[in-house]
This record gives sequence, C-alpha cells and structure tokens, in this order.
Amino acid sequence: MINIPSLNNEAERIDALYVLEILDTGKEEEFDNIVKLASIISHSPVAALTFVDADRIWYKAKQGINCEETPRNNDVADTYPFFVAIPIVVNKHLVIGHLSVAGFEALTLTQEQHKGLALLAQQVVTLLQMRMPVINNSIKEFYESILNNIPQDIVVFDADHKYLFANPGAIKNEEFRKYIIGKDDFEYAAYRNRDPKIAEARRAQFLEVKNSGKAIGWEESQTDPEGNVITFLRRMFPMHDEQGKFIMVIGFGIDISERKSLEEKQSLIMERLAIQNTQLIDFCNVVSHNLRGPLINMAMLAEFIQESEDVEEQKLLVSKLEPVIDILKSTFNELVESIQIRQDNNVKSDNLNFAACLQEALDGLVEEMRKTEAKISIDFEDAPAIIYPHKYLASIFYNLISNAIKYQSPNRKLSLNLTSKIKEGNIVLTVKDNGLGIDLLKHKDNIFKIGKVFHRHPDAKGLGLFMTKTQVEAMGGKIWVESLPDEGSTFTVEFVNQNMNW
Amino acid sequence: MKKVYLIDDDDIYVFLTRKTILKVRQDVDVEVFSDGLQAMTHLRAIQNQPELLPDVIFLDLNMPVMDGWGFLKEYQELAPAFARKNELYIVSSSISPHEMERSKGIPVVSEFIIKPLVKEKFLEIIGKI
Repeated sequence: MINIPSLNNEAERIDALYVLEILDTGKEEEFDNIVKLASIISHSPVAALTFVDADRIWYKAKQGINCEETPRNNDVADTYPFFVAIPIVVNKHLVIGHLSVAGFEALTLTQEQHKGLALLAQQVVTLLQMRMPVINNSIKEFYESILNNIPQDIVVFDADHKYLFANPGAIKNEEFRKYIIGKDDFEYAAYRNRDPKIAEARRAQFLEVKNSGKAIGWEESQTDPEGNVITFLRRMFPMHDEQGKFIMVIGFGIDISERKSLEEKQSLIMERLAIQNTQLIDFCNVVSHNLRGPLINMAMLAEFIQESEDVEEQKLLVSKLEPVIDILKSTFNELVESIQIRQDNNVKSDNLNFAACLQEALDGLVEEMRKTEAKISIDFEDAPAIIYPHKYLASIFYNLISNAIKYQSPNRKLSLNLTSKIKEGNIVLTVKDNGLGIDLLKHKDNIFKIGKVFHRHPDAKGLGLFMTKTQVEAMGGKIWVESLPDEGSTFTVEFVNQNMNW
Repeated sequence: MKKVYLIDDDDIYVFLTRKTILKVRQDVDVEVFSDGLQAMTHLRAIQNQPELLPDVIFLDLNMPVMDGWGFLKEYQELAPAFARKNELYIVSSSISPHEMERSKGIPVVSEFIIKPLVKEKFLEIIGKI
C-alpha cells in the first residue's frame, strides 16, 4: 500500500528492524488496537501497520485490507484516492516501517488527526521497545551469568580507566564489586585501604594498552590472606569501535599457581637430574682413576712377581702391593659410603650439639692435632644445636678439619675458626683456616668433585670434600668455599630447615 | 740413547712402567715428572737444547697441581718451537669416552693409550722413531 524505493541507511535500518524480532510474528492485540485507533482517528476505512524488510513490506496489523505482504516496489498506495503514511522511526533516524491510513474518497486530515496518528506511530515504537528489554534482559542475563561463573578474573575499563564491569572472579565481595563500577583503581585502593602502588602499576599498564593499541600480558604473584603465593597470568587488550576509536580495555586474569608450582617442581627435578648426571660422570671418573689405577698396578705387580726369579726383587715387589691395596680399600669404602648417602633418603636426624659433635671429630684427629699444634676458636652461641643425622655432621666436621690440617701453610701455625649462626632462618656453619688456600680461579668447578686434588701431598686423594658435599646436599643444604692462595680458606655450610624448635 | 718422559703422579705405576721399558730396551733413558707443572717447567728450560729434549712423552691425565689437560694446553704452544720433533701419548687409566673424544681434538696427541702401557705397545712406539 506504499511505495518506498529505498530508505536511508538501509543496512543499519535492517539491523535495527531485525533486533526487534517483529517480522513474521503472529497477531497481537496491542498492534491491532493501534491500527483500529488510526482508522477511527482518520475516519478511514483502511489502516495498516507495515514493516519494511530488505525485499518486502510485511503487514503486522491491518484493517479494511487483506494482505500479508507485498514486494517493496508496489502500487497499493496508488489504488486509493486518499493515502497517508506515518513513518515508524527508531534510533532517531532509522525508518523501519509505517503506520498508514487510506480511503476510497479524497480527504484532507486535520492537524489534530495528523498529530493523533503521529502519536500512535510513536506508541508503536514504545510497544516495540517494551518488547526489546525483554530480549535484552535475557541476553544480558545470559552473558552475565557466563562472565560471573567463569573462574577467571574479568574486568572492563572505559576509555578513562574507570571500571565498567568486574566479575566475581575479580572481586568476590558483592559490595566491593558494586562500589568499583564507575571508579578507578586509585579510588578503590583508598576505599579498601590498600597500597596505591598496585593502582599505579595498573594505570601504567592501561596507558600502555591505550597508547599502543596492543594487548599486553604479564605474570604477577601475590600472597593471599592465608599466606599462599598465588600467581596470575594477566592480559589487557584494547577494544575499538567500528570507526577505530578506542572505547575500552578488557582485563583478564587466570590463576596459574598450580601450573607455576608444577613448573617449579619440574625445574627442581631437572636441576637434580643435572646434578645426578654430573655425579654419574664423576663416578665414571673415580672408577677410572681411583679404582682402575690401583687395579692396574696390582695386575702389573703380580705379573712381575711371577716373572721374577730374584727373591729380593720379589720381596720388594710384594712390599709395593700393600699401599696399593690400602688405597684401593679406602677409595672403595668411601665410594660405597657416598652411594649409601645418596640412597639413604630416610636417614634419621637427631638433636645435635655442635660443640659435642666437633669434639668427636677432634677426638678422631687427636694425633694430627697434637702434631700441628693447631689453635681452634669456636663460636656456636648463635646456633648451638641442630637437627641433623649424627654421622653426617660428625663426618662434615672431620673432613673439613682434616682438610685444613692437610693443607696448612708450612710458614705459620694452623689457626681454625668455627662459627654457627642463624641467617635468614637457616643455620650457617663456617670453618675458616689460615692454610695454603685454593686458587679458586683455576679450580672453582672442581673443589668438591671426587678425585680432585690441588696440592702435591701424599694424603691428597680428593675424596673428603666430595663426601662432605654429598652429605650436605643429601639433606637439602649447600656448601661453598671462599679462598685466596696462601691466605686460607673459609668453608661455609648452609643447613636448610634443620633448626631446633626452641 | 732414546729419551722418554713419564709424566704421572702414581709412584708405583711409574716404578712398574720404568721396569717394563728397561726390560725390553736398555737404550732408553726414562725421566719422571710427578705432575704437569714440573714437566712443563723443565721443558721450558731446555726447549733450545735438542740433545736434552725427549723423543716420546707419556702423559697421565689425572694429576694434582697441573693435570694432563692443563699441560697439553701449554705444550701445544710450546712444542712447535722445539729444536727437535717428538711424539706425545696420553696414557691414562680413564676409560671415559668423553676424555678420549676430547683428546682427538688435540693434534699434538698421537694416541690415547689406556693403562697399562704394555711392552708390545712400547716397542711399537719406540720402533717408529
């Protein structure tokens, strides 16, 4: 009944029409009544409410005409001498349809009648919009329930870094969550009595996203009220409208604490594997050098003894067997012991007194101590006791002290200084001497390796420090040395989680 | 007289090897150094005296003060200037493939011999000179 070749903003107009979901709906009394009213007001026998689809005109309500739909290009209007169409306008400028009246006689509507029809056309829009909130609300609820139930943090900022939205993942407390809307992080920090540093960091991140137009991501750790460290992977990305104008930023956070702790565990395992691998290579070397060497000597000696016909020579050769066997025996024993340390995961720990344990070690070195006339000063006051395996601690003392005796300087009397202190919650034992020292630049990587010796010394076998390191590390501790050639060495043992519960 | 250096800290092994050598070749003079540094110091002192330089060096790897690798590092720089050519063999109790591979990358090393140095091997080496 109306011919409209094209309406402005066709695409937008169609979008606006489709959002209303009015096309091809059934009969509705409200719309029928509007059409009836239009007919009454204009004293016209024919009235219709039509919507202009992409390629048709569809009749929602009608009176005096029997028509479901027509093509857009039609001559229905021309068949009536009298015809008036009032546009149905949404979003201020989009025409989606018409409220029309028509008659079989030429007629001019009064201003009042025109006004009445215009009001009815507006009423159509109101009716349509009353339907819309129903749709909008359900969509809103749908998306909100998704956002609110996602176990991740989601926030949305407007172009000025004010909160438009925060889901319960981001802010659990409903009151706080309501408060934050329309505020920024600084206001929120003040409201919650929090350090504004986080707000400053967020502002910097927001500006980076806003200015670069690019998404950013970072990892962030914080401690929860129970004292657990929680790590978040956070991302912020900008949103732009169709014209490319920056409108908002979406912030997204996911708790990766579990993954993080798994990663940490993994890297710890990797570290241990690497250490074990190095130890394995060390073992291969010790088997080569410290075991294979003496065995070869024994085999050669036996061959010579067999070949020799001179009794004196045979005696000499036999006498040379003894030290070889001794070396083999002690190397073998130490190797076995170090393997046992590695396998002894559940070694028993006791409450040990440092001074008493040191005395035990000194008792075992009484002859050497007497010969060297070593001076020992002790300060175990800060940490007098430790929970540790007894044989390990005794052996640590024994090895470090016998090491100091072995490598004392020929130019001065040996002076030893032992201390135990608490540093950052861990017990730290130091053994300082004034001996030959070790050239750390040359030997840094080798000091605690098996079979490494650095001096021409008859007793140097290089097993003591390897054993000490094995014992310390088996309990999760660390050992290191600081040394200057001809000034002395300081060995430091850091025991981890071995404190007494005073 | 052929001159042979034994660089090894194992007294008993040195004693036995010297015995092995002298048993099969009386025309060999064996000089012993108990670590790399002692041998290097000596070589530097005599590098311009061809009559004192060794024909063959048998080098152990695992030694205190300066080990075999430390010795080789300095020897590589020193040896080309020697007044007389000589052969160097690593003789080690090591059976580590890693160490054998490493020695292959050092051109002055003629061969990696796993201890002990038996008389047949020694005769073969001394026979080449």
